Amino acid sequence: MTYQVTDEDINKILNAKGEVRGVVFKTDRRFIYDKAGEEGIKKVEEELEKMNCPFNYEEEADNMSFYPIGMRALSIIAISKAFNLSKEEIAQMGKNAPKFSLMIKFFMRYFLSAEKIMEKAGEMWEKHYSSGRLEPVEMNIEERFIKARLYDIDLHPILCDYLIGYFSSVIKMGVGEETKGEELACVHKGDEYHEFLIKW
Amino acid sequence: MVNEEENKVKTLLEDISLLESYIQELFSFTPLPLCFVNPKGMVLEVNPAFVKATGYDEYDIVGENLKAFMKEGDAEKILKEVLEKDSVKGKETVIKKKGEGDIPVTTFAKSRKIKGEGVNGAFFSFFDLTQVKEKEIEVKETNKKLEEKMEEMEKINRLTIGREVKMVELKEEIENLKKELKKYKKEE
Repeated sequence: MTYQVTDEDINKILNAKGEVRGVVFKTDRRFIYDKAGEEGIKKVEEELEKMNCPFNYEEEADNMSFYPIGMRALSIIAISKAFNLSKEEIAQMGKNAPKFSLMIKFFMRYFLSAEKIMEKAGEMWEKHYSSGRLEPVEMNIEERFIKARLYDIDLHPILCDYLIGYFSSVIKMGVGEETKGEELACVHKGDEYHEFLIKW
Repeated sequence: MVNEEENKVKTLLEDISLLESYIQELFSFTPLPLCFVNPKGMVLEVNPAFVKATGYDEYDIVGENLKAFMKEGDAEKILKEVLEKDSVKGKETVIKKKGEGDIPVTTFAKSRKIKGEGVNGAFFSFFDLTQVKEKEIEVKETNKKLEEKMEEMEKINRLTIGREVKMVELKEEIENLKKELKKYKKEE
């Protein structure tokens, strides 16, 4: 297992303030189902139960409803545990997520250019999460990169890997070219914020 | 007052979810391959018929450029046209299948406009022409065979007519010879 998750981590994650829309669990469910069918979903739900956070993806996940933000990280952790996923595979999971997210469909109209996505990035974050703040900090069209910072989100490094893939995928849809993402700063490494760099 | 607002939001969210599932069902039901692309040609939505026709996984299609799934140069041309003219009807092209084999198709496309924001993409639908093309080949082959038969018939016809003319000529010659023979007999 690539990610270390202690009981202390789980408690911290569960007590995190804020909420997340159920659409993210719908997307997770789809990822699990495509990977391992109903058996896979059972496996992930068992992992969640082991973390004292039982969740039924089919019955409980509702696209527009809000859930404790910690569930976002715990769902990804449970998936990584159930399938023994590497950092790269978690990033790939993040890359696939916007392709099937209902919420992202609402934002399709902004997938016209890097500039437009930059302009709407914060709004897109707010539609998914009630806490945390996503702020674009730099964009250079000639050098083909975007930098954005995520403030006030301190859940687990697995979410950072997931978001690298997620942001790369969203930018790819906007610029129409292959992208590569990395995290330049991270609260789990002592920085005050997360900083993501997406190049194309 | 707060409860009233909450109820309104809840109702709206339920409506959105219902609308979403309705659109999904409609999109999934149609046997016609469909997709939605942004102005850069990136596929943002695809239906199961498109997935089935191309043989690609949905993960491989969504987020990729439409040009990866169409005959070289055609996706760009059709997209440019639909964004300029609002719609494209009946353009013939080819969809690339995963692995080997292509699908000849007629493409229909319609731009999507959002009030106050302009064009933000286009819907594409593809009508599979495989059977039509197969029939076209069959018809061409049948026509070719018919032409060959006609040629053969004409040859036979020419030969037959030639033979008949010759017969008539021969008959005339015989008659003439008979007459000549009679003359000789009389003179003797």
